[in-house]
Amino acid sequence: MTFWVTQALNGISFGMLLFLLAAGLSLIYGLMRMLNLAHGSYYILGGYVGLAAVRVTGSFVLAAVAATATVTLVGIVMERFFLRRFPEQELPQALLTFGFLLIFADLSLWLWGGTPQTLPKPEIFERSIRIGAIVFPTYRLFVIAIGLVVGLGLWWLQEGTRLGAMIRAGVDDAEMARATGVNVGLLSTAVFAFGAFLAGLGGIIGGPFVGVYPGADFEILEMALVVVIIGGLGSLKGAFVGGLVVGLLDNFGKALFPELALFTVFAPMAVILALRPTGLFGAR
Amino acid sequence: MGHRAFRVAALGLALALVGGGVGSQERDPVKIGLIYTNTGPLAQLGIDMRDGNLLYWSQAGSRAGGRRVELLTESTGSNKPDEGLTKARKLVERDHVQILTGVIETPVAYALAGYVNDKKVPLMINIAGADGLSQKQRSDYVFRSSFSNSQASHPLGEWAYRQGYRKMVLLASDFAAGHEHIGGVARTFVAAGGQIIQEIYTPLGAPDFAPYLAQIRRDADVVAVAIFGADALRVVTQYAEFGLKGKIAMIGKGGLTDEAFLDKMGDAALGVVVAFNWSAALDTPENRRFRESFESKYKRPVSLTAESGYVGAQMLARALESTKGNVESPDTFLAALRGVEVDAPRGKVRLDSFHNPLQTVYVLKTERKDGVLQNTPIASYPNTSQFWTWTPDAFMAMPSYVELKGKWAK
Repeated sequence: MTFWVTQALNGISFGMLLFLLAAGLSLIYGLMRMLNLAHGSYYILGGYVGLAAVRVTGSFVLAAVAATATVTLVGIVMERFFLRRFPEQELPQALLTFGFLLIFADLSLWLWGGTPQTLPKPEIFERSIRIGAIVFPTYRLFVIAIGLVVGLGLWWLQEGTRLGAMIRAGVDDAEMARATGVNVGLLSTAVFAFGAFLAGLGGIIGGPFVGVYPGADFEILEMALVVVIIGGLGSLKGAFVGGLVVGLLDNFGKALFPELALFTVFAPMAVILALRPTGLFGAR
Repeated sequence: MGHRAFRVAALGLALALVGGGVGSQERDPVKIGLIYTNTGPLAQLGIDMRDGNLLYWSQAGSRAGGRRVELLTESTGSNKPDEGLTKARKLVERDHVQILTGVIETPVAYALAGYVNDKKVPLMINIAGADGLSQKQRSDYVFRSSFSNSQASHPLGEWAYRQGYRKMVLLASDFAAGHEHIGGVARTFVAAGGQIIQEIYTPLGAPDFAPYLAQIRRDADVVAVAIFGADALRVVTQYAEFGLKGKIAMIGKGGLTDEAFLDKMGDAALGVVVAFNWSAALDTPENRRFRESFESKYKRPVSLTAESGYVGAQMLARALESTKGNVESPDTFLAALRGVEVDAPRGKVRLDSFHNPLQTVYVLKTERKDGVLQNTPIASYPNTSQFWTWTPDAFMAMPSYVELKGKWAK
């Protein structure tokens, strides 16, 4: 019993982290038909900048602000000055974002070295709680809470606000949206920046338990891609459900069949690709 | 014939005269190539090992046996045998190094052994404890300043049984080094009468140990761990976070509470017991001097890979001294290496006939002393051989620990 509850909570907390990353990837693809391969870099940039800020200020909140602000800015610069030059050209965009991935990877290795780092947790979440025989770190519960809050916020943004309506219009038909007076260019920058913000937030939230290290950018990108493939590209609901599915599969896979750890994540993805190429909630 | 003998003698005389004439001039430097790890979970281990070497050579003025010594360094990722081999080729074939040294990971050492045998280049392994290389695959060219992976494991298994532990869970990194480190503990623990109830193997660089820790059977009374580098930091802190600390004792191999990470582990490391051949807390003049010079030069805590790197350099220097720097004559140089004996920070070290150190193994307990965490010796096993109480032949007749992985749990 303890085993199942602990593993389920672990899986959900990892799933929430994946949701933060996949949501941005999915939104950006939905609106701009662009697969941002540098998305994993935003994760490690968020983590490393957060770590540097924690060391200077000693405050997790200030570090979160610094990390997300930096990564958001990086996202804006990438979209405005680079990706904007190749509208709707998938191959140049993919190559460009891949180039950014490599540059950020080398830059982080140079600045922060090769040793994996773990962010210190905020002090109030240093402890573990005990319910009966189950002991669980409060920090992971905090991660679950953050994931739920962000998920609800995004749902409200998309369904209940004018901005959300514009994004949905842009996703469905960019040209028609433009014709009705939506500034799709500005909207694209905003969505791209917001996606980067979520990934940067992922970096600082994941930093204390997954850590930041050279290569995490690729690993996180890979997992986020599996999430959007399972959930469906362009769908927030898909990113949320996909994140949970992958988080739980990954965790129970490692716990029950450690030899098949990767298989338990990628096999369901392959099955979904075969049966429903658009993913669980994908529109197209 | 006489004529020819005369010519040879004349040539010899001429060379001797020329040699005498330039005697005051510098001979070419001895070139040593160091292979270390600088990215991934084992990066800190590699960097500390490199700096241990650099510390020794800077203290020795980069000289040994009357020759200048040039140290060339090449880095790899964590546990990348292919990269290690590429770097070794580069060092030997392009830079013409005469000796190779360093090497953190066991699989990298296994990969290099064939190459150095072919090229007849001496390799002084500073860390990688690859059991086979100082046992069944013993080579004339491979030496070690560190340990064989299972060397300190044997006393630990027996020690654990004597503490009253009866049911053990094995938790190790899933690569050859992890299997060898943990297999040694399992063998002597079982031989003493203990029982292995579960084996858990984690990938090197696992981002999160939660799924593995949650599996640990709660009826165990001890968990033996062979996980190193940044992974060790995560496994020790998460063990406390998931409430296992204080319920099931944690023991392990030296690198688990590596001084390089001890400060970051904090209270989570308190009470963890490991077996190793060195500790920063060993109170000997050699160790104090080593520790102070490392920490004042690099401004960070000294660690076990730093010590082992330092000893590797000491051994090479001693062999160069006893051959007057004649690394070009392989037979004399290899013979000098075989007979090497050094006053290492850990104590006196000499090599057995398989080129692996005979040395004291300490059982160390992590404690807080004057506000700082340290690994305090609580028991010692002097002059421990890699074969423990078996004869080399009897030991090597048993299946290797890599083969025994997955077969311990009953």
